[in-house]
Amino acid sequence: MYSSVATAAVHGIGGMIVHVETDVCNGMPDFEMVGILSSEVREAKARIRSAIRNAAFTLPAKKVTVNLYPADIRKSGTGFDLPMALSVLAANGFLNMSQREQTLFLGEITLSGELRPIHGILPMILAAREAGYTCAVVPKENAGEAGIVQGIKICGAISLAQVVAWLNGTEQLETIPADVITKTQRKQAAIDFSEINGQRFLRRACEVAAAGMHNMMMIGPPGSGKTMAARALPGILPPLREEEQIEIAKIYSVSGRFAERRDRMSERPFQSPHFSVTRTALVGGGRYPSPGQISLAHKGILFLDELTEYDKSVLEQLRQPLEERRIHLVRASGSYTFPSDFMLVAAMNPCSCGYYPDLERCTCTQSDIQRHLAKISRPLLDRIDLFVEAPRVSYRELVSLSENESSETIRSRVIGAHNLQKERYLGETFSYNSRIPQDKLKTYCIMTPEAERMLARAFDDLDLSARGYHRLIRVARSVADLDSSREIKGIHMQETLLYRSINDRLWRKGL
Amino acid sequence: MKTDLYQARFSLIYELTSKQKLFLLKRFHSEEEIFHLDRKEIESVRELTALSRKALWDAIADDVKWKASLDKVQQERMSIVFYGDSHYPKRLYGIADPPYCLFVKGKLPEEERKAVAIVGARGSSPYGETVAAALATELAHTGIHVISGMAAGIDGASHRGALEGHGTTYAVLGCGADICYPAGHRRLYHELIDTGGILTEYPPGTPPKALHFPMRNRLISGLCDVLVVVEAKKKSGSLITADFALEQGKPVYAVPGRLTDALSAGTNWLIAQGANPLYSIEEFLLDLKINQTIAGDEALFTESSLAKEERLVYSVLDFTPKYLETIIDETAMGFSDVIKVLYTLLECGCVKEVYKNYFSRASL
Repeated sequence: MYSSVATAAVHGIGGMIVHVETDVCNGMPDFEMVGILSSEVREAKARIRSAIRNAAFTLPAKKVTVNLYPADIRKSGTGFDLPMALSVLAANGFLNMSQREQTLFLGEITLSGELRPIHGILPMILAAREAGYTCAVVPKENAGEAGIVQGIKICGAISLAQVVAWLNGTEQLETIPADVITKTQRKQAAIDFSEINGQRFLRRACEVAAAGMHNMMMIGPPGSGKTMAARALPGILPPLREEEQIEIAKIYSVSGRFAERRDRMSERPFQSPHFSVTRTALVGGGRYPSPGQISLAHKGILFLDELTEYDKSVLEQLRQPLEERRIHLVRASGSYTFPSDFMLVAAMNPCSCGYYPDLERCTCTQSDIQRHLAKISRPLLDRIDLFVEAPRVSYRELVSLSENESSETIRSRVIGAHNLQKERYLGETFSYNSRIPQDKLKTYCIMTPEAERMLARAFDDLDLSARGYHRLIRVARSVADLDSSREIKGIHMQETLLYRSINDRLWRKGL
Repeated sequence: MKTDLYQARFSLIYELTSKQKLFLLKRFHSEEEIFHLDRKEIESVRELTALSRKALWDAIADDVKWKASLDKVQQERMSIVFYGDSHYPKRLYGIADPPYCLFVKGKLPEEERKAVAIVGARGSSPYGETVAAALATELAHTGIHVISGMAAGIDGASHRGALEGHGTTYAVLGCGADICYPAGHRRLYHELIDTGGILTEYPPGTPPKALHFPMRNRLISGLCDVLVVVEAKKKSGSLITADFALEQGKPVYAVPGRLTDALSAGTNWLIAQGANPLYSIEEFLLDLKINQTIAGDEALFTESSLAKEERLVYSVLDFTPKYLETIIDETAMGFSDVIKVLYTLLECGCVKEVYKNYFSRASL
């Protein structure tokens, strides 16, 4: 006899529908599984045999063939245990699946027949909903994650026996209400800007960076608050839209880290890989690629502390994702695209001892300093729009009781700037100031004569490159937006010049 | 370059010191004769160590290496000036251990002009560098040669100051004249060759070894009329130079500094030992019996010529670089105002940006 059960698999961060079909016929007793299956899928044979027996069924000795289609896509993971067990039982006549055509089944089974949770539930359920399925049976522990998806009924089960009983109509399965997302509007970041004392320019630079989604670099001695500022940054970015939250959840789900997002769906991700991070861990990869740090930071912040310590070849990998906002990984098993639309925030010491230009503390020679700066990947530096100093905070500032602006206040200004950009770039392929292509700069970044003069002067005196020049214009556009100004005025340009690249020359008269 | 080939070959022998070379010259009367000595005769010179004798023999016996070295001298457009030549700096005849020869790129200091040597710490402070540069510029304006060692820190600042004053400055190196050490001074190196000169006792290709520097310091003080030490730690090579100057009978000036500054410990000590305190550039120039006439396109700026706001910003600055935010806090002025003033001060050259958004006073 024949049966077919619907289930799903993950490809990249997307889900796709897979069917388990079983054919049972007379002949030499055999159990054959086909459909390009990875080893853990093949092992299901041992698991379901025991589980079925423990569910009080005895399988007759027949020739059994199980196929997972589409047969040309590689299947991996242990989620096929449940659908396979059900399909085998149904093909042997123990189950009636006819009413369940619109139901999807997922789950790993233990030898005793219990259901265990799996990774990637979210994209799989989303795919199921897209494909028109109305119900999904998943392990109880995955039910919460699956429940995020609206428009499909989720039933959580604890064992094979329970699912069988439900199919036979003798038991009810717990249905999970879908309501997780919208309600949790907790605080958006680990640190609030009001907790950071002093560092007025640093805080302001964070605001400007957030306003235009500019990549940013902080330079300063150890302990000056760079990490704190980076951790507070997600808190001044506009709240995530629902689709964004789901997309992020999918990425985490596929990485098996959904639990991290469950209670923080509305928080912008913050990833700060240690500088020993490998290429694969950073951008994703492996033979059967899984998302890297840059995708786990999608719609959030990727913080690289001590930029000079990272392997240059690893940092090289960031070029494509910084340009295209996604990463393409091509492997023998197929080509995968993971989203990676993050804001890059980097921090570094000005010199190897960390204290330059505080000459009372700095013990480096001129050549030490040059060598230190040379360690940074130049192509990466070129993609950073804002450079801000984070000098040592004075004691007075540290203990000052004056009120610092809260993240909430700063965020409202940032949201204002984002709204201006949304209006301005309606119909364009880009949505932020940091992404304005060179040929559109003239259209969108109108400067007053005073601002133009300042920029022209800076171009000469500071020996700017064309890229540096355009960078400054984009940042100035964000400064002007925060001031709700249609044009870029002199004061905006003045402030922007403070954030210029450390590679540019210093103001020097004559020389 | 009309040089005796034997003289040239002799000059290339790195392993023999000037003292030894001059001694051999006295004993054997000419380089040509030296090159015709046989092994036994060389061994008989017991005043030389075994290693030196071997080195001499190797040089005499060598038929190949010297040609390449001389080619190098030619290529690098170096001239060699020998003890006894008409061009040999007369001041060097007066020192205890004059060099056998000098390899020169560019020109030699003019005999009739006064020469002041400015030396100091490699790990100098911006204050020290400003003083050295300002002093050098003033000396350049009055036509006095500035001599130093092209090292990082005070030396570099002195040369640059002299160049800025459109003067002539000379560097004595502790390595071959074809080697630019430190590498970061490449541009300075070329400017020195163009407008002044690079001198060294060491044959081309000689790398900068630590032991060369005390030896070359004797030449820096030897070539000058007055030595100025701007900054020095308690144990500094500049103090060695001061020693030589004293030995050679040259007056030594030292710039006094703060009690707490490690970089002034050496100079303060020199003053305690009897060196002249350099507390005013004008007074120093008077001491040199030069009448100060300040020519030039830039009028010396005085603080009183600044507007009120400019003076306020200028007053919170000193030679230690200060961050923009601190300047804003200390002047209690608005951000835009401070920036505007800083741009003005940058224009007039009173203030400079030492590191991005860190400002300090530019000159004395």
